[in-house]
Amino acid sequence: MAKLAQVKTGIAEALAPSQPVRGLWADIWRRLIRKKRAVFGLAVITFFTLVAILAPVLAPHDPLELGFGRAYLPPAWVTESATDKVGDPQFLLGTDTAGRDVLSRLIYGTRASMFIGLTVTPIVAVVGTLIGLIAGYASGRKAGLIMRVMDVFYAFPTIMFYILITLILRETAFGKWMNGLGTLLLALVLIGWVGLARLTRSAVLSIKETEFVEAAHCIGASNRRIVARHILPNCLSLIAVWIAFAIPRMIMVEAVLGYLGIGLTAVVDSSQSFFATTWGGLFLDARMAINTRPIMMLAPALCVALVGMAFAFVGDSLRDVLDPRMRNLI
Amino acid sequence: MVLLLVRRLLWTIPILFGVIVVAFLMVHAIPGGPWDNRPATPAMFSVQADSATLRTLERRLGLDKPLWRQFIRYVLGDLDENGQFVCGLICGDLGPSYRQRGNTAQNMLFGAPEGKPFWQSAFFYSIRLALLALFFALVVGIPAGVTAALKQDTWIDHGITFIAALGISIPNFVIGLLLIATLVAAGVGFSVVPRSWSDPAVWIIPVVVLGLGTMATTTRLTRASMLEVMRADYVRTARAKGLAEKTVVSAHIFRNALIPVVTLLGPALAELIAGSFVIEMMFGFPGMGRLYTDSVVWKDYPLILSATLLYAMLVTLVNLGVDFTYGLLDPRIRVK
Repeated sequence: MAKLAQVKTGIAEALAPSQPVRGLWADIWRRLIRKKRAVFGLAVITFFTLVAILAPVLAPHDPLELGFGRAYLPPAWVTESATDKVGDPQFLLGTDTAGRDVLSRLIYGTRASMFIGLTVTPIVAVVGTLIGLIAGYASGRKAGLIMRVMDVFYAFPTIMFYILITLILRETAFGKWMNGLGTLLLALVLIGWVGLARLTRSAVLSIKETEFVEAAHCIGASNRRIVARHILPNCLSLIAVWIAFAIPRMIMVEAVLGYLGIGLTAVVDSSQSFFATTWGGLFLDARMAINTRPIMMLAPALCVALVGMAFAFVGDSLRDVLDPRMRNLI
Repeated sequence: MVLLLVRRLLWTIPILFGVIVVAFLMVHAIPGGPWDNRPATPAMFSVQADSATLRTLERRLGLDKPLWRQFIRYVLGDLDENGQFVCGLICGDLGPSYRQRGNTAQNMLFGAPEGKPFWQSAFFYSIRLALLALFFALVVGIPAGVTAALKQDTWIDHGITFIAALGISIPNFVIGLLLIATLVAAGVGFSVVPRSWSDPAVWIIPVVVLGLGTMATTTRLTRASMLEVMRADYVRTARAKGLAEKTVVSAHIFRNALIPVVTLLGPALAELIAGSFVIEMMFGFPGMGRLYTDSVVWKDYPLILSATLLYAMLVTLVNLGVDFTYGLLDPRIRVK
């Protein structure tokens, strides 16, 4: 008897994992932070998120405070030869035509743009995943109908959709809410889901044919349970990578719409809104001043570029860590 | 295969019909009609006309009818005031422009200014921009990718890979803004919106900005594909039988490495056509993008619908073509 117990513990010891067992996501995280590019991306994202949260602390001035005595100052290191205007170190990046501090506006713009990217994307992800799951798992008329709707939305030129939605809602009560933030969020959700729904659907179609789903069917699992417990977890890595790439896309749409002058309406009164301006709004301001104050364009464009790059680096690394074969999909 | 192609082509019709329905409803949901002087309309766009004239105009264009009648009129056609049947969209008639009297949407999209060849029209301006951007992407991207692969792990490779990573991750809209701002800051005499587009030099910046993302993708793909082929057995054989390095690279590696790049062409073109919209507006390019923004400001319904439909059609057709070329090049991928 004693011998048998000894053998048993011996086997157990031999089979025991040599390393402590980690969960799937902990493992992914460990592999992710081993990549230089991912760490750089995460650092940049953390930086901009902190700037967004701490905007009131970091901004040297009120982004909406007008100052006609100090309007249109050049950046601090510049002395403008044509007008003899000297940059003021108090206003590091200069002021705009209404005397508002460009740096403070940039910091507050970061807040709004990061907020848009980080809040819309999860909503879009949930909507897109749900629709994709239904379209992939259900069969027959219901799935066919969803597919047709998806095809139409997929074919619809995206920027035109945003422009039309904004114009429709701009003058309604909803459109005026939060200076048009509601409209923007709605537009982003309305058309943003299509890409993810298509991706999820194609993933579901192949997962549906696997043995473990068949096995689940055989032991009498309900459809709901199969989708929630067997299919959805297998789509999660795809969704995670999609989110990483979608966040900068949402920020970008806001920037493009802002540049075209149909993004959020300009805020004048500081009690009016939580967000003083957005990166898109800054682009619009800068567009008017491009020939004399290129810094007003350069600074927000650099921010957008950095954020876009950071998310792309993280998304890229995440994809390599999760499943390099996904390269063909996203 | 042919049957499948025909079936897929026929499928695009209901899809485009859906696009038209959505676009039609959205356009008509925009508050205000094409002729009213709302405070939101900039003064320069408002029309000075008495109400009787406007009523006549509306009757002639069918804007006094209920929405469903207007839709049928637009898509199928309707009787005009003389009792003559005028065919609509299904006959390829995109409708009259509301704001340019006597002009049709068709003419504004496809018609060149008088005395100019057809490629001076808005539509072909856009197509030219997209094709030139694609050309630029390939001419720069493929050699860059090949060089990076041949000099793998040297600083040349690292430099090219890094630039490609930047090009992929930064959207071309932002690259354009950065470029403009840098050029202005550097004091280069340069105007964002040129007076005339007949000078080839002014095309350079829009084409480069539009094509940069595609160029980066091409570079990356060429490099990856070259590296894969370089390790193939037949390349080792070619070297072993004593072929000159030049021959191995050009005839054995390069040719085979190019196959995945060719499959990229379709999606890249679709992306460029869709992406040209923003770039066109940035540079005041006289293509469909600008026509679209103008038509939105003027609430020129037929023009908005035509431009939307045209973009949707181009992208759908290119995507369809892509699916089929995939199937032809790689029989493992079945077109369903």
